[in-house]
Amino acid sequence: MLSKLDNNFSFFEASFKALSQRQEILSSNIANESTPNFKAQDFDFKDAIADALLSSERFKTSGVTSDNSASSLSYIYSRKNLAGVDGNSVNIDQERRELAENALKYESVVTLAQIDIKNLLNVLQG
Amino acid sequence: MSLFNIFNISGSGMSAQSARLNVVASNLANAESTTSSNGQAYRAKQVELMAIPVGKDQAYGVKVSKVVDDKSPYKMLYNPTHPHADANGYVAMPNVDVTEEMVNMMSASRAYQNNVDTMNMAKTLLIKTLSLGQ
Repeated sequence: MLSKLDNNFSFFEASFKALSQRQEILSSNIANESTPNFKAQDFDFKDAIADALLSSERFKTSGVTSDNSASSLSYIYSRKNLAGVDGNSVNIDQERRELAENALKYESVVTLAQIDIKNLLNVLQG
Repeated sequence: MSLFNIFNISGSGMSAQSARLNVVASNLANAESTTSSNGQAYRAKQVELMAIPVGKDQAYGVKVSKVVDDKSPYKMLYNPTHPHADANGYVAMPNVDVTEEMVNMMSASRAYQNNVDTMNMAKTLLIKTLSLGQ
């Protein structure tokens, strides 16, 4: 039972971490909307979450944990957007859309976690 | 926590855009200033923005690296009665392009709004996270 609990929560933790990192990268693009020669970046959510889940799995079986903080940089990649005359490749409409979408995903994970916690409390209280 | 870093990133964006807006205001106010502290007509100013790394996540904020003078020539206006007219009757008017400044102003204020929205979004997400388990 407890390992199941942990499984669920480590998934939420990994999602929160990856989604908030992506939100940060998108905010950085928006802040640099008018900086010459700035190249828009993105965060590979899929790889980040897959690796995070894999490392938490490995931790459970072998007790060895990998250092996530150093590797989080490897999920950041440059977008293949066309740059304008000033060398800036930020497409503000795209950034705003992705930011809203990402925030919504984050909120839905919060909702899911909340439901999970509520269910657990129900079980505990009988 | 990456969400907290968004406040730094958007904050830097907001101050950079307001510096840009400040320069636009200065240019528009001095669009007719035929003399200044150095004795010459006012020169339009432009800000240079630069991306600076904020936090450990390869995310970038913005900084105004410097404010530069616009190198384009003065607009020469024929007005022999003007006190600053030269021997041929021409007055050097500031090289401020009012249309360009208005475009710059709108662009800066939209960019500022985008940063405010980003910051608000991060705040909402943080509050939602804090309410977990209640």
